[in-house]
Amino acid sequence: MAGRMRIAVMVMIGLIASPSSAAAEKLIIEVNGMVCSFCAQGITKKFSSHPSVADVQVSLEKKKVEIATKENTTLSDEEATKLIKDAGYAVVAIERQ
Amino acid sequence: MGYLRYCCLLVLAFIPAPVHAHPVTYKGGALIDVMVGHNHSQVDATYSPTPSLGLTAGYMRFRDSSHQITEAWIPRVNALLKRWNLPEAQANIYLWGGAGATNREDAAAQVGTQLDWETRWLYSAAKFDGFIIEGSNDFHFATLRAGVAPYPVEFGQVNTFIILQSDYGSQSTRRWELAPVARFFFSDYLLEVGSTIDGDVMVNGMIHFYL
Repeated sequence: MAGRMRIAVMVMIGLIASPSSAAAEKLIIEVNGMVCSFCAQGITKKFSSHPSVADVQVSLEKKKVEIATKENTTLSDEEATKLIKDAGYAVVAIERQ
Repeated sequence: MGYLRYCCLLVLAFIPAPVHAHPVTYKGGALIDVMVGHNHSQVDATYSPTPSLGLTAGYMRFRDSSHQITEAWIPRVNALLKRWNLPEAQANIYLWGGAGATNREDAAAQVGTQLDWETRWLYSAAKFDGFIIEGSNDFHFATLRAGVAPYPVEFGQVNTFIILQSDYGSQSTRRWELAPVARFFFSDYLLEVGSTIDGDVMVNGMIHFYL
């Protein structure tokens, strides 16, 4: 009886201590054609309106868009590519961290 | 003669030409573009249902060489025919057309094209706008632009371009006029201010929205 109790307590502690959600992801997207910050506003608009996206950073110098997702959510390569295309640009590569 | 005139319009339409700004924006985006010039002023409200299509409600005001004013309301469709997204540059070909009416209730039609190429440092564009107005002389405007950015900018900073613009108006100046133009853009706002050598001022402002 005491053994069962101890196991139950350990399971409960484990459930409380371990994160039940997936960690947030960071996507680094290399983008071609991103030369004008006025036009590239579309990228931030498109990603910011996606429910999985917590933050968007655009660098014209590095030609990269960094996306941080919210915890418990994910953004597939296909979704990210579609959002970039809808903003009028072309994806070269997507890296995940 | 009429045939020759339309051939000339067609040739002008495919001169490598410039812009006030892109007539198509991102999917779900909208823009309001207000351009005020001595001989030609225009207000456009555009919505882009796709990244290659823009639907515009446009108002234009022209002043011809006899100082007669013509106003026209012309809804039009703008198409991004081709875009080259390159590592250090972007180039575009746009085509647009529409039909409406003037303040004298004459039918009016518009057809135009724009070609542009830009990097973070350089900007060039060519634009042709032709207006066919029932019972009146046709108008066409052609613009060539070349610009340079005086300093490097990152996303979120104020961009500046110093542009040399040349305009031709078929019913106004009837000659190519030179105009230095300063272009600034920040966030969703773009402002251009210029003047011809003769002192005719041009102002262009644009705002982007996401609907």
